[in-house]
Amino acid sequence: MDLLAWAAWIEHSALGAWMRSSSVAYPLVNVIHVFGLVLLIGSMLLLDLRLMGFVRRLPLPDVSDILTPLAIAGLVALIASGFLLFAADAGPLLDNPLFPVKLLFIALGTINALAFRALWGSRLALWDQHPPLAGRLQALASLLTWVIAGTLGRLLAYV
Amino acid sequence: MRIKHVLLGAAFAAAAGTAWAHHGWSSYDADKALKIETALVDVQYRNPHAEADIEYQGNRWDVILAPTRRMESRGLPADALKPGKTIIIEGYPRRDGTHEIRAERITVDGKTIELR
Repeated sequence: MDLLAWAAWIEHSALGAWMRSSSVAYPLVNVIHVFGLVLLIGSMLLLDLRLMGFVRRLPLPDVSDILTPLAIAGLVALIASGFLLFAADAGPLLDNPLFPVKLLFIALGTINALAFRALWGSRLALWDQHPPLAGRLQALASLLTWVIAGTLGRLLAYV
Repeated sequence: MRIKHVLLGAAFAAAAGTAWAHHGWSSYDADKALKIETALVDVQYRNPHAEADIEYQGNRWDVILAPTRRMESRGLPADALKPGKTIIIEGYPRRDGTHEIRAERITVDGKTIELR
């Protein structure tokens, strides 16, 4: 099934209809989407700044252990609530020029995070002695990617 | 101290971004306010906002109303907006020429309801 047919199907599904007809579902799911973004960007901002060399008095493995699960929880909440918001409004969203760009940045951010774990996950304890330039650039890219994805998401309503 | 400067900069950037983004009404031309008395052709009473179709100057126009919860609480439930019913729309056309109006208020059954 191609993407447009799938979007039309989900928009006309019972789930999509419920998201549109309930007077509380859309606003509540929207609130979850915002808190997911707060969790993701909040934890990634702190973790990425730490990886880039700020606040070195906090041990990096501890910072990563605390913030990574919070960021993943935020991303999961964003994807689940985002799916519901998409079901309510799939047609107009696919027409929106910002929407594919936003999805691209979400994909880039996710791939970057997975690549970072694969490349540097076992080396965080020694990070401050030998901070790899490529890893710090990945942290900067992560920060920019998530901020851009969040910004594009917010601006969907204004173009 | 460095991190404080970074965070402060980010906060200002975010505040500036918010101020700009919250002018969703800026896509519509408030200098060309329209007041149209017409029959509703079609109504989608739905979230994220309800919409109505009207005929205006020989074209079909999409009228953007408000989220359903707001309309209900201001006395405009779904069954008050039926196709064929004559209403008065006050609002602004889209600047880019699209046949779309953002409604500031609507008068239904002699009752005027603010939508913003």
